[in-house]
Amino acid sequence: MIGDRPTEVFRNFRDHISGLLNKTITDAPLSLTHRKDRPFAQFAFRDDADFPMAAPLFSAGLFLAVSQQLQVEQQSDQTWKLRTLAYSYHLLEDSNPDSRWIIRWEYVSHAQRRNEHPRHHVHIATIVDTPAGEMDLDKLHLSTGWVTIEEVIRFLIAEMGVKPKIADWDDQLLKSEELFKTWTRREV
Amino acid sequence: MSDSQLKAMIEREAQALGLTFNDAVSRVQAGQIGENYLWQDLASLVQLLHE
Repeated sequence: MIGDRPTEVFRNFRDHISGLLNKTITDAPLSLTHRKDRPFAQFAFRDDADFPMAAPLFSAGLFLAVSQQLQVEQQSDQTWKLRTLAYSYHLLEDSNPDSRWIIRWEYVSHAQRRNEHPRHHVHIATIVDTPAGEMDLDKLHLSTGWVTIEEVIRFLIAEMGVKPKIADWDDQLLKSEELFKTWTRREV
Repeated sequence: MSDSQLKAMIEREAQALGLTFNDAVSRVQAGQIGENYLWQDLASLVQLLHE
């Protein structure tokens, strides 16, 4: 990514993701939290009092809480490499933190915490009967690959009936995924 | 954002969870956090403070 300082790089990335969300699933803006001149930052939906919130989604009666922890590292060519240290995407029935959640996609990097459970995982608010007994998918950490915000948006539009503002939403998501690969120098 | 502003954010979220600032930081550092998004946000702010 391009920028003179971490603040500028984080703002550019926040603006990109916030713009993508606002064109596709919600009007809520993402708020950036960044310690001045440090290479770490976080963004989430926040209300007017700067308190985290779950954003209402277009039309489907669902709410989404988004959080990403980020790090940037300056490269020898003066560009910045972006790294995601943690993410959480919670799909809920209402906006407040105690409302019933439906799905939680989560990740914490090994750099931050060594887990006994899969670091990329999903929780689903249901219990399944199996021959081996009940599988509590609410509590279990079900392994996933890297879940991008673009894939969460795609799921909400294509399968949960959220109505995007733009017709070419899938093209926009594909472009964003390509940018993410460039900025992080990784395949997702 | 200054460290004091970040600490104030953490303290406000800790209070909403019925905790003091120090208790919240200890819980986050011990990996003993709740499952709702307020806890997730608090944990990421504490992490940010200590990076």
